[in-house]
Amino acid sequence: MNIRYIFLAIIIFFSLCLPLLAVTEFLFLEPYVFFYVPIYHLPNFLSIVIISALTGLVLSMSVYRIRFLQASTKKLRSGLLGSILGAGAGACCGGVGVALISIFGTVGIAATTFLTNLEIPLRLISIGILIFTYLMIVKDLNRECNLNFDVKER
Amino acid sequence: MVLSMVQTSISLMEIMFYLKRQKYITKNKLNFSLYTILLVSVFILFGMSSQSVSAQEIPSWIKNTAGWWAEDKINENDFVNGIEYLIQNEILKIPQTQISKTQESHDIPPWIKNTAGWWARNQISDTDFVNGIQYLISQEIVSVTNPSQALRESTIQKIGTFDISKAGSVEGYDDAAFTIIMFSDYQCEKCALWFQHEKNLLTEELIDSGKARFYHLDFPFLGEDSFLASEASHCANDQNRYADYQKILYEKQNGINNGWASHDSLVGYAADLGLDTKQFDSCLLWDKHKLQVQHNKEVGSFHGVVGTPVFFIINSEDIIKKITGPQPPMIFQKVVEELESN
Repeated sequence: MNIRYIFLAIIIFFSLCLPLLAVTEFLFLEPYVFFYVPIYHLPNFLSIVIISALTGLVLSMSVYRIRFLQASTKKLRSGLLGSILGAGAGACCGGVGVALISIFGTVGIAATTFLTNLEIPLRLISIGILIFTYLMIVKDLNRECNLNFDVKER
Repeated sequence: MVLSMVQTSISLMEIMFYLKRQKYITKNKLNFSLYTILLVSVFILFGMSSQSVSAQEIPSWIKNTAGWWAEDKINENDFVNGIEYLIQNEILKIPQTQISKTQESHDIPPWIKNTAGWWARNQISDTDFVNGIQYLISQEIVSVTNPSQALRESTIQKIGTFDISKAGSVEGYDDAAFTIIMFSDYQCEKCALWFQHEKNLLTEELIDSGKARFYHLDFPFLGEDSFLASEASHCANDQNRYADYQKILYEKQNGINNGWASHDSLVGYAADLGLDTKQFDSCLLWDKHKLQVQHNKEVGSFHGVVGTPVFFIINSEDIIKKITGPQPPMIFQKVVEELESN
């Protein structure tokens, strides 16, 4: 177990989770810093936590593979795709939605509409991509580590 | 149109160059013809641009209503009332028109209806349609005696720096020490969820107890249907059912611009509520409350509202506190207590 990569996973988790919670309005900054998850928003909140946790896990494992096993960045990219998709979903009304509309106008409205109307499916797709990437990385790590071990033994 | 004009000019110039290369024309003739083409093109383009400026005076959606009248989907009165409203509120801009001293009759001549139909089908120009409207004004069939200034100068009711004169309805007692203003978009899911789950508790704790009054102001920013839904809520207010209709809108909220807040759906909700659908439909069709909604949105923008829901709590000394996002009633309570202690 490499403590540095666990630490990296935790940092990625918090640095994704906190902004997402603020953007999706579970974490309020005005007039007081206040955290509130109403029961009717529980699925949304859980999906954000799961996406952040999986992103932390997948990205830190990908970094490990790239650094020590000289693996390709393909899985890192699919991990990032999963997290971006999950982060974008449900961006309506609050921060990201407004930013999209004010920057891109009509196109921004269309993007916000898409992200909002398909919030849950997008989050599920995102979780699916991240789980798939995680499984592939685990499989690759087992294979590559065994292979390296065999080489060393000879 | 402009593009094809430019293309035609370029083609003509190319033909002239070709003729010169083939030595059918001299250099002087080539220059002369190029200048002529250029000059004529500029004149035509100038003419077209001035025409397009006047065309901008008529919003394109008025064509739909003109078409409906021509097809007898709406009656003459609705058309006249609508045109009057649009002219009075400067949405439809018509050149100054002299009132005729020899008025023929107060009935709309059939040619006007034909003109409206042709105009709706793009068979005649905007100018022809405007001529028809000018005729109606000259015959005093369409009255333009009350300009929009009257609406703008109508009672300005201010709380702090907020003009709430165009708010739909107010909840709470007149002598309440605090005012809560909510800016909301009917297509915003968080606004709908807040209204359904948190508003009742807020009403119990602050509004029914006489501590605060509650105003709802429109801030439609998520597309056309948001604006239409806000207008619809004011059309319901005309029949004294603002709160009931608003409740229905928040219950029916189901995404953005996907049809749940289309014209037909909104009229359908009015019918479910037992409103006079003919009056409601006409109100919505003619954008009777467009300026009201625009005004409320401007009030929000002026106070830095960019997304929804946003709340402002104002005390009797006009001290304002902003609450951003769908926060629970306990935060409102805390802000009120803080303002009280001040």
